Amino acid sequence: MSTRRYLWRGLTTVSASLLAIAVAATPIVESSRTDIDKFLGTKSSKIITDENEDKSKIYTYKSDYSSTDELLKSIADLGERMSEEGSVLLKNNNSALPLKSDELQKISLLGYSSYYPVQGGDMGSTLAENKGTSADTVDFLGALAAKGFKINPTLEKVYTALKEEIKGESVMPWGQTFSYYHAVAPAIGGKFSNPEPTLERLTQEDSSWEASLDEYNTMIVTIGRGAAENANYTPGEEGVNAGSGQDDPLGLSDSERAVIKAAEEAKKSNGGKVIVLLNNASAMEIEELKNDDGVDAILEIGLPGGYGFYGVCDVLSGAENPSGRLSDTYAVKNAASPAAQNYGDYEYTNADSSYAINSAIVEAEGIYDGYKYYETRYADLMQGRGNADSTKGSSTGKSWNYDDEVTYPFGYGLSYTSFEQKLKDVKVDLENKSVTATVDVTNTGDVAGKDAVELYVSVPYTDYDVQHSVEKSAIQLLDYAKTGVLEPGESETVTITADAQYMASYDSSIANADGTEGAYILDDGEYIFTVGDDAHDAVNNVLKSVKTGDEETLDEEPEEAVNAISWKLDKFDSTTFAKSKNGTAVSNQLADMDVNYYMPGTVKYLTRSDWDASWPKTYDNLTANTKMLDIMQNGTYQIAENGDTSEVKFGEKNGLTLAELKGNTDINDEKYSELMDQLSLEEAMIRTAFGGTSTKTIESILSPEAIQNDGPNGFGSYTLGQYANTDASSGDPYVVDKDDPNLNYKFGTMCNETVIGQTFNKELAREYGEICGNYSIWANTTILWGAGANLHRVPYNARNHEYYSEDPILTGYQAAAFVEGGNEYGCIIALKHFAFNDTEINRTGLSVFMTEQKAREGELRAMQPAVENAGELGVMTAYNRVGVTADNAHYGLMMNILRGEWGFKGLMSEDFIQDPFYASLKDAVHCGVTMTCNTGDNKMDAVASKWNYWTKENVEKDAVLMSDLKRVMLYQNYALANSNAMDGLGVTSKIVSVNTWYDNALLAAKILMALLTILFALMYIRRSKEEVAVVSEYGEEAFS
Amino acid sequence: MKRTVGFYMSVLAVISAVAGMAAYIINCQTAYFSKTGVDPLIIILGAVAIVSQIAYLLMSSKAEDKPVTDLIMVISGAAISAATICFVGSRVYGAASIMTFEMSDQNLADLTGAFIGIGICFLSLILTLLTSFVKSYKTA
Repeated sequence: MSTRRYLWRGLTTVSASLLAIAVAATPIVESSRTDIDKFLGTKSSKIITDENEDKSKIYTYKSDYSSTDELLKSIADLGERMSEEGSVLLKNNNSALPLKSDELQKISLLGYSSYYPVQGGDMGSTLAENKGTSADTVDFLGALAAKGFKINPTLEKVYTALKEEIKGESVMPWGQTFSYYHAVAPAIGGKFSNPEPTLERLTQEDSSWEASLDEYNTMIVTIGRGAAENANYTPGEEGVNAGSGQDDPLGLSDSERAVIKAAEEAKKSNGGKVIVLLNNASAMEIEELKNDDGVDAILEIGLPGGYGFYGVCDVLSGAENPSGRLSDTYAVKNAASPAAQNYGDYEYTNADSSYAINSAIVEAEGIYDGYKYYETRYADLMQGRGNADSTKGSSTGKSWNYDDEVTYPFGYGLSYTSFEQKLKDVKVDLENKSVTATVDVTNTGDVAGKDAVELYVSVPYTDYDVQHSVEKSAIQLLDYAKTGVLEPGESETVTITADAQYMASYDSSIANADGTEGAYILDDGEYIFTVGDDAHDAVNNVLKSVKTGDEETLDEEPEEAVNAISWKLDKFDSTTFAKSKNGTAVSNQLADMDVNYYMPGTVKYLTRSDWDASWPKTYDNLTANTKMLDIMQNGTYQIAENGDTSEVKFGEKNGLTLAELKGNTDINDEKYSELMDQLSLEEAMIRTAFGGTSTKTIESILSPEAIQNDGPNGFGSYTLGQYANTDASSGDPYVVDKDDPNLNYKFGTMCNETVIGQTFNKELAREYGEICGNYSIWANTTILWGAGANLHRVPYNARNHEYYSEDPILTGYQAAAFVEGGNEYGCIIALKHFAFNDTEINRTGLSVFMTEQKAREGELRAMQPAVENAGELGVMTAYNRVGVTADNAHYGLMMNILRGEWGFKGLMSEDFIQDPFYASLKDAVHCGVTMTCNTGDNKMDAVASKWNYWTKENVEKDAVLMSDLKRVMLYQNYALANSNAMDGLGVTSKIVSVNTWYDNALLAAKILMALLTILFALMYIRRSKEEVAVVSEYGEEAFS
Repeated sequence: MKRTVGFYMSVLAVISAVAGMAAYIINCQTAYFSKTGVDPLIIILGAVAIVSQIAYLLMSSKAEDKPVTDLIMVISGAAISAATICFVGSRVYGAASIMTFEMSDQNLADLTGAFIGIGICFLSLILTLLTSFVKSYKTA
């Protein structure tokens, strides 16, 4: 055979192989269409509306802005104001701050985080850097320059030269290394590396740096700690690379101490100031800085996002007066808290990755997280109760003492002025379930400023509580408010109407009349309301006012003088809050979150009745028993022949479209039911299975695709232009020019949630929701997974930057205000992660155990206001298990509490669970989850290939599951009907498929390869015939 | 008849195709990927590729000049191509998930196994394509 024949054979093989690749890739493209469209910015479907329909009426939601320029400038403005109010002044000796005008011209920036600050998370709420738009982002240097500060050029040169040396790295478990030019939170199991350069290294780079401090003697040292999803700080020395001088990743390193000391030394001769900025989301251990007289001021700035440094500069210069308050307790030793005793990677002895059975966390501290622990133990210590003086939990090894444990309490923050708050009146109205407090706030200093009013309550801790294992915090935030700007001498009367249900405690042992157990109770006794500068001030007010037995108050001050007002409840009350706001009877739903439910006597929970005896031990090496394994292996719902399937209608021809229910808030309207009857069973099954990145269109009811976006610092997934409408003929009032430079803007630019929490300002949180709503209209992205409302159980969770606080009330109300602001513009700002996503370690499968009281008074309370008060329409569930039950499969949590007691009617997506088994589709649908986060082709085969039980044959025999499917589709479409996803959709609209360029390219490739294959095959045949002819004439030797 | 480099490449193509399919089947038994099961299409395509490659090897020594031998070569290339792409497609979402949200030593080991299997399949594909351009034997 000749070489040319081999050439044609080879070319035929290559073209046929490429054809096979193109053909085989087609279903992969189909199943990944949504993700490809997101990545490429293409659209595979579009809405066509009848020419005669009035297009101006099909756009319901209106933006407050007339251009992207206005919109983006407002985002930048809000980002600046958020940091002005969310930065917390912790220390200010001799009024070191604000800086005088001449001091602004001689700034020395020390510490690498001054030059390379942490502005967002490394994964999750990552800062989107924008250039060439109307709202370009800035770092600290950029903001200082813009605000007219002058910085030390020698130091800038030194640190800039060290950029590559001080970059942080995070090594993923699969070996990939991500590099960041800022402080980095360690990956799971990793250690914190502190790249702060030594003084010697600075000198090596330029020996004149120390001398340069004499001219630039306003010395600002920034200490940074990174934050990230999928990251974690391991407590203690175990979590730090050796040689740094750190005994905890959230403590200071020797290099950080050295640079601060160098500034202090320089100050002795140059007469300047030393200001420390804390650039962190996880509470750091800074007792040494507090006690260091050389440090003049400490300002906690959080992760300021893309515009927050403007606000930080304004606080430094005094253009703005700080009014932020700590949203977390700053402990001396974070690892000494009771929660930290059970924070880590505790694998089951019988872990089994094939069922996502990995590890367990027992939250044995009960309700005593954050200030509820420190202040309660302090109160008990002061009152000589509960062995509070035990050495257990003491970070010094001596008897427990508050001052040894807490550096700055929850709610703490200074101002450039002084305020006086006077609690004038408190009215408790149990009939209307409210507590109304009136507080007079007066600016007693000489600078204008705002003040946060923190309303606390101390509820009685009785013998009943001790006997029934009901725990009570000695102090708890009940509500809060922020004044307007008060001029010196000016007063404002602040009226706070708090929700009385949040002073009730959950008693899981009480018997209800209907035979169930568990209810919210109010003990009989004295309820003391107070306002305080912080939680510690508040508990001191309580201690001063409380009478113990026949004793007088701890000091002689009358209640009026200590800013506390008591209210007495004469009779134990288990009825006022026996039903939720919507009238649903409350009862135990989370008994199985207590590990003792499965293994009685295993766990002893912390109780203030005996701090010593109940101090949590570490619960590691748990072995799941048969009952636990059964749930983890089989889920909670089994598909079976069940009920009368003929009663469940699908595929009816009622002639309705979702557009006809636009803005209809009555989910019980018969029209919704008729609309759902139009769905086909297949549509419901596919849409619940594949809800990732967008909700996708449903043709039978003309439900539109609603684009999802992440996360708490703004719309960080896509640019503004990805889905913005550039079609001027569409009638959309928010059409943008395709050459608009702002189309490249990415709104992952807001400060982190901890800063928003630190504002203690619901109005600002609401403004953020409103601006997200406006952005959502312009960007055509309806759903924002943005309201991170998990709690800061411990500071070591490196994802704390996506959550507000350790306190559920502050979290709950900030989140509710955020959600409410978005709702006004049809933007669904969804809560996440519902619920108990308390660590990033082993999230997929992690068992989280706790008491029902902790669950309800902790993280659930942090999410409740957004649903009950703000009309939340979206929720993202969590990776973890609730006890041993996969979160998505927990009926009590999802259906009985969230949808039952709280009345949630919206859409609910799983988190990014790609493991089909653990996604628990059948169980999740039964539990009201409206979609998983998977994507795939719009076909039953595609669904069944992931979940082999999710076939029409299986599901159509189970009337319960069929009803569940219709129910979740109702929830999902009810949410969309009340969102801006409906904008542009009229009653005559139709959704049509569109071939994208990549569809065309793939088709062209198939045609081309098919033609080439045929051509090469023909050439091969022709050559073969020629060879046969040659052979017949000259014999085989012709080709030898 | 003397064996050429084409023969050795085709032997390697068979070995790598067998190894690639074995890696796929083993990978389907791993903790993470066992949940998505074995895709029969990949198995069928892989089997077609292997059988045709073996058939080509056996036939090429005796009837390399026959068109049917060349047809087998083309089938082999197309089959291993399709099998490899399907293998890739079956692991895309798992890889995305493991490399972002489901990191664990076990999952990463499973994913590494998938990458190795895909790599071996690609090797088989390249060898098959190269083999198709050259003869396996030449007259001494």
